[in-house]
Amino acid sequence: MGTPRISVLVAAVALCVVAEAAAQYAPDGNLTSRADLVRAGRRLYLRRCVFCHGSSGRGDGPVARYVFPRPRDLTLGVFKIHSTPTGGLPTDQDLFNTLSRGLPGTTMPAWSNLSEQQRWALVAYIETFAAAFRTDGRLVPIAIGTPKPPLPESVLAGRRLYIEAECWKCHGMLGKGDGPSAPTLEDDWGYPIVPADLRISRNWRGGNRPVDIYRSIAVGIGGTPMPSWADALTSDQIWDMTNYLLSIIQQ
Amino acid sequence: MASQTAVQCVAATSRRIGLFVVSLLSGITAPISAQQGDYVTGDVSDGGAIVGQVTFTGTASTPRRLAITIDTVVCAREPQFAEDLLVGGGGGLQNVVVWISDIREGKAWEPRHSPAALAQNGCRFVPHVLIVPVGEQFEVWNNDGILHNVHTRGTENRPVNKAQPGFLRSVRIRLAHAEIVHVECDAHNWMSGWIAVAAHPYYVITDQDGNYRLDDVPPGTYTLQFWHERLGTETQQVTVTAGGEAQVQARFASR
Repeated sequence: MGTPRISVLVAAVALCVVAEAAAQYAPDGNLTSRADLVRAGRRLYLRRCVFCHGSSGRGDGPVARYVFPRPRDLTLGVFKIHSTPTGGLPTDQDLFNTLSRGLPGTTMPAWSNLSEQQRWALVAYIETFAAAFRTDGRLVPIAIGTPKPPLPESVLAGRRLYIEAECWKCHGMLGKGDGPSAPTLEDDWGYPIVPADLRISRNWRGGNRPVDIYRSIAVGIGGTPMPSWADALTSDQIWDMTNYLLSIIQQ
Repeated sequence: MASQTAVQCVAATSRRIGLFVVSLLSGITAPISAQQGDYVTGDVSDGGAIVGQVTFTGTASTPRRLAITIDTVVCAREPQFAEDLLVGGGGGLQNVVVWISDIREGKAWEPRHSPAALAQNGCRFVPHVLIVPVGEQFEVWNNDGILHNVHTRGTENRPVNKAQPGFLRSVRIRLAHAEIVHVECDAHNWMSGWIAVAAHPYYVITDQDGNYRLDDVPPGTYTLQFWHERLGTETQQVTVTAGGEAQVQARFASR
């Protein structure tokens, strides 16, 4: 039971190391057209991303079974981090940011060691997996505005909202991710998923700057139970909530 | 009018041949999602009706009681049972979506004063299956005063997930593609409902005895689709005559 798993892991790690070495010497080239970008992105994808996300982008690479949460299925065009309203495709910049920063708290690393051009090439290639990028209109990012200063009254208002809006139902009264609904949560593919422990800033999938937290509350986390609060809260209230959440971060 | 009917029939037949070829090529017998976009509305003065009963031929066990694990004060006021297989009188199967999948021309939607609405009521979606015109906003109500969320999952439509805390009575959602979409509330994992995003008005849901009726159907030969959330889809051919009443029964077996 254990041996095949370990050997698959070893093989995958070995492949990753070889790929890493090969990629070090891959020249950026001069990418002028979208088709060039897609081709370059495909070459990179097959070296860097395929082990988790699979050659067809379905999130079914050889090591996918061993990582939690599961690697994203890229063929549906549903991504955790998007600056667009719920149901919207991510913008190119959203995908670029996710590639650059990784998804903290998951096995998705930051690919900041790749050049910007290489990351844009990956964005172009990743967008070929989902038909929605060709057929659905792209939405514009939500307006975020200027942050509200984290004064005590804003933090307290956020705390009251956290109780009243029942954020604790999943995230728990102390933000530990242990609310009553937490044990039954599933992602859009039916795999178990846990709410983030909000006290640990590296768990914030979309980043932990005030604007990132605001965005995650306003539009939700794509493909997960975390919903968009844009219809439920005013911009002012989302800033209060952001300030409260910043106040409970311990590390 | 006769020539128009003939044209419709020729058009319908050629479409079906096309569909048949497509299904031969793809190995699929019936497209599950309805077509859309090319439906033309007009007056239907000589329409017929399609009526029938959908029955379940397997043995239906008593609906299973749902385990209400949280918010019991609101959600467990009375026992809750799964609604995914409801069999009534004469084996009639409730909550089957019946629609004409290849109609190109027919009546317009009846004007309505308020959008179609789905309620979260006692931690259930009411109705269990709702028909909504494609591309139109519908409302989801929160009658419970506690946090729900509305999370849609389809194949053509991208997932929408909106929080609906107790103080937000109504949210609006618009789905752009005709298909049947699952609606869930992640906060209460037993909650399950369906939205039939309809390309045209010839959609109906079977009542508790499995009966259905579609009115004002222009004369012609059509494909009728039956969808049940657990039992899958069935397809039947039907010919509607002016002022006539075509009987179409459908049966679903256990799976």
